[in-house]
Amino acid sequence: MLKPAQTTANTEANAVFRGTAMPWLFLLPSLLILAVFIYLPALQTLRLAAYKANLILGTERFVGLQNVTELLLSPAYRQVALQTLIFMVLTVSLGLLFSLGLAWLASRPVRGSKYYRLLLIYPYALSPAIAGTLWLFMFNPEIGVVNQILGSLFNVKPRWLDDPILAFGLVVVAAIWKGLAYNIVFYLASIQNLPGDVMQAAEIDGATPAQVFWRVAFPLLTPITFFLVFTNIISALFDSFALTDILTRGGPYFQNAGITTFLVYQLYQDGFVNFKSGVAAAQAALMLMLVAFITYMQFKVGEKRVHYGG
Amino acid sequence: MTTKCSNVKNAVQDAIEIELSGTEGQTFLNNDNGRKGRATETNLDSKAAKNIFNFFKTLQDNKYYSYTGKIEDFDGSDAIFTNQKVVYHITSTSKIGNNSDGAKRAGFELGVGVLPIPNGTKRNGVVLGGASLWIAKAIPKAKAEGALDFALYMTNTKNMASWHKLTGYYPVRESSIKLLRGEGWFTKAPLQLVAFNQQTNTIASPATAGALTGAGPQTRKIVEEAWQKVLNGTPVDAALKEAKTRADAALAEYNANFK
Repeated sequence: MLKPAQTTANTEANAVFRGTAMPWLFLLPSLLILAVFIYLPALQTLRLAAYKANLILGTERFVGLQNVTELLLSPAYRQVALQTLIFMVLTVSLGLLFSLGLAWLASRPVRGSKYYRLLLIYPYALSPAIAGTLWLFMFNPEIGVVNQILGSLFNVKPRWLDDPILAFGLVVVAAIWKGLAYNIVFYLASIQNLPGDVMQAAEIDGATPAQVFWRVAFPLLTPITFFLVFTNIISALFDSFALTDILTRGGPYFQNAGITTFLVYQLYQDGFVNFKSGVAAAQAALMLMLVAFITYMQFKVGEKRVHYGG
Repeated sequence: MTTKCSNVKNAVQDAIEIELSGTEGQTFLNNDNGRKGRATETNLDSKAAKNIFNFFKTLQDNKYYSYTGKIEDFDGSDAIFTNQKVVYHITSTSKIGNNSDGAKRAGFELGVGVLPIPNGTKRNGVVLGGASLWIAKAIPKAKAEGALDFALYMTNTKNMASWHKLTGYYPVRESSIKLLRGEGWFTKAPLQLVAFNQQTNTIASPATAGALTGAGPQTRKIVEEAWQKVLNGTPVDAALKEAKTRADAALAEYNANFK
């Protein structure tokens, strides 16, 4: 798609392999592993989505698209999808904004900046399970350090884990915090590679620091922002699992579903707790379509909006 | 300090079953708890179910109750108890070890009591909860016999006794209890005796045999969610009505596997 036309003409002359069998032979080990662990299970999942199946009983009954239509019509599943969307928008937008701000500050020439950078990157080294446990104990309403401080200063002890709004907010903040380090690493590297002459020229021309940031630096950072938006979306969709499982177990229940139950957690619940493999497979198929759509948008938006300089 | 009680959510389901059996010999499911025929309905709208929900609601209303807010949070509940924020802790027997250690570290003495029952009711006993072993039906005979041999070995008198000592889980054999008694285990670990007596004094009935359902974990979560709603202000009747609708639907969906 992106290759200029003449490359095709040169391919024959630059060919490393003689014949077509050789390159396939070298690709074979990777393809085999992918086939066994990715493609085949994916195809089996698509097949299973058309069945009412129970993992423990080993029963299967063909129902066609019934699983999918039931999911799309179910108020609980629709609520879970909406919650996932809100969670995704909040964590991606706020997460990137905070990361950019912190990376910008950490890239300033201040004393000890190396240590700040190290500390900012540190949460990335924590596994989501450990991060979840840390937050769980920090926000334990009776003995958590947060409520001990709030209790002694303001005499309040918020119910962080069973008040629907607070629980949702807590999971969002925890997810943003967990993602900060990853984003900061990329932003720091990009900020340090910004063309110094352009920035200096802006300053000499009398631009305020805010103008330098929003009018010069921010547009130059769009390629990395673009990359991070999509990695963050994928991580909000799939990596939220460990955090919600440990912090809230998808609860508290609000209207038709647990308020911190997101698509991937619902899938886990139905597939591996309730053993409804068919319904879980249908959810996996829906999520596959979602990821396909996001990938399509990534290329579509990427061609139009991102400023690659030069 | 006010007298407060903390509780692990897991125990709520068990507590409800215990309460049901404890008050009127009420089963959790119809068809004798699913033992006479496949269960098709939960008894979550029964008077006994409302009783236990009201019990927790009264505790909550009087600020006698605390939990972390997360459903089935064993460690969080233990932490509330061993940090002495509450006086009573309703939890699994398998947690006696951890909580004893915590109590020792915090410098207080730990006691163990039987589960509470409503005034004026007869104590029918408890429903066993926790891990269990099953051998699947649809496996080859040789495999099934091998699995049976292994299960019998694992649950033999000696192994069940050491399993209990290691984990705090009940042994499934009376011969194991006899062995433990002979070894003087209950003098060494007197706190364990309460749960053993509570179990061995249980009157056998469909209610105390426990609920037999393939939608177990899902039903348990529905009950826990209903209970959490009550703690957050939903009236007991409304919460239980909704829970019954959801749990019955889950049961119907499971039963549809056999059509």
